[in-house]
Amino acid sequence: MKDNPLSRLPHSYPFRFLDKVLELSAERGIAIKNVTMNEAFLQGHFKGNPIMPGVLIIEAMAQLAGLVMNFGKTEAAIAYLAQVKDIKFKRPVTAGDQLKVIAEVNQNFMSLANFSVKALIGDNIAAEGELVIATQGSSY
Amino acid sequence: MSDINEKLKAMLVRRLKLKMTTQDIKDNAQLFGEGGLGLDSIDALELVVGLQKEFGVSITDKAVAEKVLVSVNTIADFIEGRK
Repeated sequence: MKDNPLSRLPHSYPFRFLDKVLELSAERGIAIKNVTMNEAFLQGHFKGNPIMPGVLIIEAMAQLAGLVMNFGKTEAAIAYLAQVKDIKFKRPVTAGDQLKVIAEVNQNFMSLANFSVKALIGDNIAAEGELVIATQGSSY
Repeated sequence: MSDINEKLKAMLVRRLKLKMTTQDIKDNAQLFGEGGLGLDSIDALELVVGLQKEFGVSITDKAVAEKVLVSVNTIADFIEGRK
């Protein structure tokens, strides 16, 4: 699987929140996260009422945005989450849901990029907003 | 010229959620670093997004950014020059 774009993701178990990349370019990425009852975070969030924490949905969107930022680069840089902007959570995500994550570049500037991000279940938006991602050594 | 300056200041306050009014921003005040408005690199990105969306000017080159993103006056001059 050397062509698997996820091989460039520096995150590993238990902090990888993407299962499969469907589309990836320097402008946009689309990926899947399958949420199962085995997720450790569902054991306590919440007991008897499993809901994927919103911060982990943001993390999934940020991981994909990091892959978009590193697309085509010979050496992948660590991508840091620099800003979370106007994220709305519109429906709960739970075991059995397949989360489709989309990250699109609005603007690149130096080693920063502003992304429009979305997480969908089917055609329904679970979360959407904007993220700013910085690659290692960002300064201005 | 001053019209652009006022629009720029309004955009800075609104987009960067500055805790000041447009009257508090001097035309030649340094936007970044100590002693000026104290903006950071994430503010710079937001500023670039705002300049593109609201003034139709694009800044992607580092050398241009370092010359233009200095003060309200330098940004206004850049916008004027692109008209």
